Amino acid sequence: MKDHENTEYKGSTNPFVAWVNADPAPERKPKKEKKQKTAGAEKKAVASSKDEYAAYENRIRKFNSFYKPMAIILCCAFIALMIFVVTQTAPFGIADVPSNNEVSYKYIEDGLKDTGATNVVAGMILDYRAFDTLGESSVLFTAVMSVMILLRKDRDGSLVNDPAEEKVIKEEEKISRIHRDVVLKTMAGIVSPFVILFGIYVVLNGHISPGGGFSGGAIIGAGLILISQGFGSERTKKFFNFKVFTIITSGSLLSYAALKCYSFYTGAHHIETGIPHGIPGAILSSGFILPLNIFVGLIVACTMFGFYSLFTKGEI
Amino acid sequence: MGWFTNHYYEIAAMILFGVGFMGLLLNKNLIKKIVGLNIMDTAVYLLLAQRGMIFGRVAPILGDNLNPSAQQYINPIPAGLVLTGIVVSVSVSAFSLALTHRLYKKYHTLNLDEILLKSKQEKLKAETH
Amino acid sequence: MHEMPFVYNFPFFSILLTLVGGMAMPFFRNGKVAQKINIGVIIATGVMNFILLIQLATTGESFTYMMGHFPAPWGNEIKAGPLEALMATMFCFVMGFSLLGGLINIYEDVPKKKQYLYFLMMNLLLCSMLALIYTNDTFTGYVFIEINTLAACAIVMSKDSGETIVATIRYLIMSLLGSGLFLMGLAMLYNMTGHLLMESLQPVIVQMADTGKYFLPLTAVMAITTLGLSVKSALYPFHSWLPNAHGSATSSSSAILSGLVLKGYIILLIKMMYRVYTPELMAKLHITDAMFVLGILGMILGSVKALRERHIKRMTAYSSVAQIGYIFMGLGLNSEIGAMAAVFHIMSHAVTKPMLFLAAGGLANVSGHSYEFKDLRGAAHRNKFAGVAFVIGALSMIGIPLFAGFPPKLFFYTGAIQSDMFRLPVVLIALAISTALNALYYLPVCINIWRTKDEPGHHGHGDEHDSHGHGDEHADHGAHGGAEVLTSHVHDEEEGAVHGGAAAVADTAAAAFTQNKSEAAEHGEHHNTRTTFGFRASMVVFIATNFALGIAYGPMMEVIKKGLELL
Repeated sequence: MKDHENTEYKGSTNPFVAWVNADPAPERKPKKEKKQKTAGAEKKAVASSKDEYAAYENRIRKFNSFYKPMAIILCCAFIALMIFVVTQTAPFGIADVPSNNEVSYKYIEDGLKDTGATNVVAGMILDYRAFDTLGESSVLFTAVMSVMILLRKDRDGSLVNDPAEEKVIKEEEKISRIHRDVVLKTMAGIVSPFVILFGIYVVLNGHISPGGGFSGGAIIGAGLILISQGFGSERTKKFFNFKVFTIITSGSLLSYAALKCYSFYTGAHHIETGIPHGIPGAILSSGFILPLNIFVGLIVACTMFGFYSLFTKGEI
Repeated sequence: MGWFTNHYYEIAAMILFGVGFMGLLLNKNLIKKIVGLNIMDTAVYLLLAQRGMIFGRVAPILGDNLNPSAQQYINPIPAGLVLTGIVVSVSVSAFSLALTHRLYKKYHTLNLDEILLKSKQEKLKAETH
Repeated sequence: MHEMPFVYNFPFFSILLTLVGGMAMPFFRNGKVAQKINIGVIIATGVMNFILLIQLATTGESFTYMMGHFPAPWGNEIKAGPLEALMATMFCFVMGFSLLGGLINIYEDVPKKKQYLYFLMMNLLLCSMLALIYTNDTFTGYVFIEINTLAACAIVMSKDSGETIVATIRYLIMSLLGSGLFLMGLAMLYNMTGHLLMESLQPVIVQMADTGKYFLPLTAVMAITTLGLSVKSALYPFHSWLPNAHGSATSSSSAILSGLVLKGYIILLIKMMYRVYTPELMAKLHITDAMFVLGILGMILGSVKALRERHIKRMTAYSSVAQIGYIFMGLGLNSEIGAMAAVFHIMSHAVTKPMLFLAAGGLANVSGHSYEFKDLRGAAHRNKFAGVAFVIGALSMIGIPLFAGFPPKLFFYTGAIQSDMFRLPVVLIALAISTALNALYYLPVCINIWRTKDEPGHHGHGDEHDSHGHGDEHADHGAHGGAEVLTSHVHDEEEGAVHGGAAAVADTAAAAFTQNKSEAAEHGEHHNTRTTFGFRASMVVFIATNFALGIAYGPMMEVIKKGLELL
């Protein structure tokens, strides 16, 4: 098969053979033959690439002119259909709908007994449906690691390292160090301790009142961002560098996974965990939910601050 | 009018979804596309969250009530699902914004068409050399 | 139920092990350590799932495993049967060998400080795919879909170039659209049924279909979830992101994305179809008709697009679009054999496509890292393993007997005969056209890469690097010298040589090698390839698996049949 093609190749006037030989295209054949590195051939190559560019540009323009009306029509049709569909479903706000079934009743009625948490939602996400929540924390982890691939500067010359931009960032930092915004700095100094304290409160009370690891962690993360804004990144770097970030994020996730492994394994084998639920409503109650909330809070706080500092400076 | 009064949350969610979808499809600016995606996500969360609501019942925080009855509280499941959804949407927004950030650094534009053209140009340049 | 066999823990162990392995990697921050963890985890997971597969295939049963202390409708659950175990085993197997085969390119393409993150993403990707395979809860499925999306995007863009990032953002937007639609479907499903667990959903849905209550919303939900998963698995009109993402990523990423990630979503779709919606209802509400039509379109138009490509990886990526079309066509046949053939095609494509991508990467490595056909001319002589693997992969994709691509086509015919009178002629014609098109775009490449005369201008590349010294030095060792240079270069890089320097060394080595090769080729000598042992091993294993699947398809179909019944 191969030899047969070989013998036929020399002339390659046959478009099929030319195509088999993977020459750019039959009609561009002459260019290919003059492949010697002369100035003319070079220019021709540039010209052909310009043609290709123009063709590409044209294609995008054509696509856009066709795409816009299509998108509008499609979208309107889809939404009209969906509005019609949702009006056929169960009405809003009444108890007698399919979604209020034995599952949700069990969560409310037995939740306290099963999990020890007076916040039924916390009990649900951290005990009944804990596997989902483990996945959810892993999504955050995946996202922060992906952002790190994209934005973290490494010192050995990847694309991220743009010297001009580095210079701009350094200058900005210098300016902001000298002319630190007084209002921002003072207010950050006053407000941020309370913000972080409130975040810790929300995390620790997640199982007995509204809140929990995700919301509390976000509040703590916001407090850290405020400190970083007000006092400059050097200040936060003193207690929160990349190493700390890694240890807290990965460590919390691993601890979370370890706790949940234990409870999944014992659950599947119908063994009691041996963790007391404590007195309902007390801080130290509801078994694993409090430590899990703390771990989730740490993960979320670190992730939020990590996103912020990766976006602003490209490092943590 | 029953179809409207019984379903206004869902209808609002769908309209919001449409707004987000249009934003995603019609904007060429990447940031606006991402905002569109976020609006779409929000619409889905509204669709989910409204399912938990029951008139005359309160949020499922038991407090001192140690013998809760299912007739007192609203459905807790949608709240948990929406929480999961929000975390997911935060993650993907961060990721897509980081991608946009990188593209802006490289091509100095946020317009997807221009980015495509510039990347094509770059590729052709690499080929001719 | 109290005394469950220890083997039944394995799905849970494998999901947690992959997750924990990924989470532990940031502590080391070292690509080499991460790679070892990753390979170790994949081997452990593969072995566990294989044992589970043997156990379940012999006993012919499936089981549910509580994730926590609360049984079915309240807690999370995973479910495993022969089909799930088979898919999980295959995923671990393919992922392990795809990584092994493309290792050299990973170390070249990914910046040094970020290599550990690449392996981390691989771990999370495997974790999410295993969770998608084993999950028994639709919402867990959604959460792990998102992990899968993020990790898949991350492995595309970890090759640091503008092209990959543009491809990634297009991929990400389409993926998010798909998962958004899927979540909306789940929200409406919850509206109507109040359940999220697959097992509790099915009776409610069947009852709703019987009574006709919520008829329209049910149809819409089924359409939306199927649409969402189809967008993510690149069914024909939604495939636009695929060629760029798969064509520009590093070889291992392309292999895994094409071979496994797309399949993960299809497996979830099959599970939704069988466990939640039931195939009869899907057929009654014409969802399968839509899948059938789009599948046929994909089979033909994907191949037509592939025909016009002159970039070997993009061509292979378009071929994936066509193969995904086959799978959806099989699912849309409304017959049991059709679905079995679709599952078999998932497997045969999962072992063939990674081989093709890795072989393409291997061929490009010896052709100055160019993927254009014109530069690849004769590349197979420089890398024999890749050349042979590419030809075998191509023959398998065309559907020649003895290769893995043949049995599914045979069963698609059988399934079409079982199906209705309308589908049979369409399937026959479409399969014939698609096979012809496959042959038309794969065979020329195969001929082209094995061509000896008319050396491409690319070999002149060596001159620019002034590498004659190297060339002479290694002339005695023949190609083997080149191999050593390259492996040592990889070592250098792993051990922390300055990246730029290492890259320069690599370039010189590659150029020297290419020159060596061309000189040696002129002398008509026999020689080794400059590939690493890992690459050769993975090529041999993939070829062997391909033959194994192509010849011993009988028992495999038995397992799949049993698995689909127990799903």
